[in-house]
Amino acid sequence: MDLRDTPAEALFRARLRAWLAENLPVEPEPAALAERWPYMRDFQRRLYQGGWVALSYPTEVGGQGLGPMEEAILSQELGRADAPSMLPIGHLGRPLLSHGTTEQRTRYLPPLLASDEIWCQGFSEPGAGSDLAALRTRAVRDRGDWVITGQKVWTSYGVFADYCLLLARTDPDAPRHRGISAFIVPLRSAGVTVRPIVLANGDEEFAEVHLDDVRVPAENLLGGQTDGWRIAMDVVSYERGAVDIGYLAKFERYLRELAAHVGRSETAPDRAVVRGLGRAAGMVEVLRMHCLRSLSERANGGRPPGAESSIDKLLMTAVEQQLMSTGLDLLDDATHPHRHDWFDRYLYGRAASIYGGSAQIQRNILAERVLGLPRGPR
Amino acid sequence: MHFALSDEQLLLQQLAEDVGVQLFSGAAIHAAGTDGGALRAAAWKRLVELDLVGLLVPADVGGAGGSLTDACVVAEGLGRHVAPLPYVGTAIAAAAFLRVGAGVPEAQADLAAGGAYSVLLDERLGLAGGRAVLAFDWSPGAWGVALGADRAVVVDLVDEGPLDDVDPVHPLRRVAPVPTSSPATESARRAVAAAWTGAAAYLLGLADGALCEAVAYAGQREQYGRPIGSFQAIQHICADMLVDVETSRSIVYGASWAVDAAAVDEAERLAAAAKAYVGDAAVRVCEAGIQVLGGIGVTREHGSHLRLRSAHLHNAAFGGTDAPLAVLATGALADG
Repeated sequence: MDLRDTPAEALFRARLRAWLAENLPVEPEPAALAERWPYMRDFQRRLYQGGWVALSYPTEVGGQGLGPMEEAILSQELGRADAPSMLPIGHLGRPLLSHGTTEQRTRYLPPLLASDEIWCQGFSEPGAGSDLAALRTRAVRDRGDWVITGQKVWTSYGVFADYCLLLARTDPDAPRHRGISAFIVPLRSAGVTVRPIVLANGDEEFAEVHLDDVRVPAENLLGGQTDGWRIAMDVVSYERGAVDIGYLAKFERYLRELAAHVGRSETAPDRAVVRGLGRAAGMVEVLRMHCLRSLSERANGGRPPGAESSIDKLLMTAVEQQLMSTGLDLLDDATHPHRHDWFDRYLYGRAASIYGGSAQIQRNILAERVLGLPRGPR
Repeated sequence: MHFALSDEQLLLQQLAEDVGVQLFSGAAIHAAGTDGGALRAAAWKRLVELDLVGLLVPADVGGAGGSLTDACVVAEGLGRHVAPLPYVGTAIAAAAFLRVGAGVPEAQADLAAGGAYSVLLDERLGLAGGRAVLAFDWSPGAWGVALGADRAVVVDLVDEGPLDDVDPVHPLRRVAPVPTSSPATESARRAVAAAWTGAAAYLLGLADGALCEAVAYAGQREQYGRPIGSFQAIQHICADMLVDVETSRSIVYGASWAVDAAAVDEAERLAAAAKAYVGDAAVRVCEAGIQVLGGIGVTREHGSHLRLRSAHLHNAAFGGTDAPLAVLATGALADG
């Protein structure tokens, strides 16, 4: 155990801190996604140009060739500096890195990491949510092309995206996990229709994506034809890390905002504030330590997160939902100027136990793949 | 940054586990409350011989000069087996208190050699009452250790008899009142943080043991013609226990490092998070473990109630969750 920076890490942190002091936007982060998206994207591009994005990706694809511990430092410093949220799509580069051909990595990764091209993931379908392997979107080979037909849903940031990492069934006769392939689908292709889904808080973060005889060239297949399931599992395991998607820094910022809102009163904090804020602050510390441990294991093992990443996801969900509920409890004055925003965040937080594999799916994974309990009926 | 136990600490972990298995498996634990202290005394002697009691006593006064992480590794292993030993109260809290300020070298050396030292707490098992009336993790003939503002005080206790609280294997004793003060110096704050983290480590072990028992039972107990562990209703209880245990492990080991090596505000904040979070989590996990065991889990004969009792006592010790939550809330308000 040594949670101090190595000399190299300390230098990295000092440079980053100095850069952030010069480069943070002066305008506050807009609440509505329509304005927040370009704001986040601008900051993400500036971060990339500064050399602070894709730290643990290799330099030849636009990364910095560093490791998971630098990712942890980035998260700490962004949180400390009250920086805008990162675009939570950086993990979509992982499958391109692990399964892409040299051509695919060279073509797609640099603009993805630079946020010049935005990606989304086309996994869930109306009939395939928790049971993702039931997906029915088909891709059929037609000479040099694949022709894709079907429907995707809950596609995060679909309306902003240029490319979709899409799962489709290419072998209807194979066992269901083996018949799935992953494709790179340009969303500007003929036959693609993207319709926004308005969330309970008013944001159009999700979309449904309709594919009607969409043709993509054969070289847009990612990995082997039977690799789709493995690629999807790789993506979701990164999506479960609070540092990988920038949420740790976001929660630290929210906690400070909440403390500022309730700390305005002149009187000493009452018991509800001490317990509510204390618990929320404690959980953020637990998440911080758990992320450090997970990233340290990743740095030492040199391998992507495994089934234990479901622990990270369930913890991240618990922290978010507890923080939001605490905000509602403490901002209980109906005329409080921030109550409305916190209610929107609270509503958004209810999605945390649903997206990226529901809390119940995470528990199934832990029970069977980590604890080794006997597999049960579904 | 590097978040992992060292090779030496992994060996220490194995040693604590072996001691737990040898001394406290099966029926032995039930005897602890009724054998006049024979098991406790023999086991403590064994820990002294293995240099596990004096881990927090500096080498220059006769201790093993270990880290708080070392001591937490041992506390976790003992907790897993509900060891009926004063490890948290004596080897961690009293030893940490005796280091405050200039330290109390004779008492530290005596503690490392197996001498009985018990930390003194107020009637709600807190440190802030201004007046200690209970000896926590009491052993016969124990000296009392009270924390003042900037130094520890060793007291010849006036024994006022046993207190029948919830946990029969970690005795509390009524003692004549001893004045205390809130910790005021950095070194006193670190000592409280060490006590919080040590209690959290024992709680982590209690929870981990409950998880191991529940998973083993769910894998072999059959109903409806199949192991109950194949039902999602049971699987999800076990998965939630796992999340509580692993996240508790992260905060305990992070805090144990910070108390020794980080700035005092961060040390205190992480220790507070460990105590508050793991206290709640361990009670939750021990309750869930009983649920998975079904009827056998609520019998006197099975050890689950001792585990749950110990979890409640260690959750309550050193100010329950309220004292650490106050530290966390104050810190958050100062940051906000």
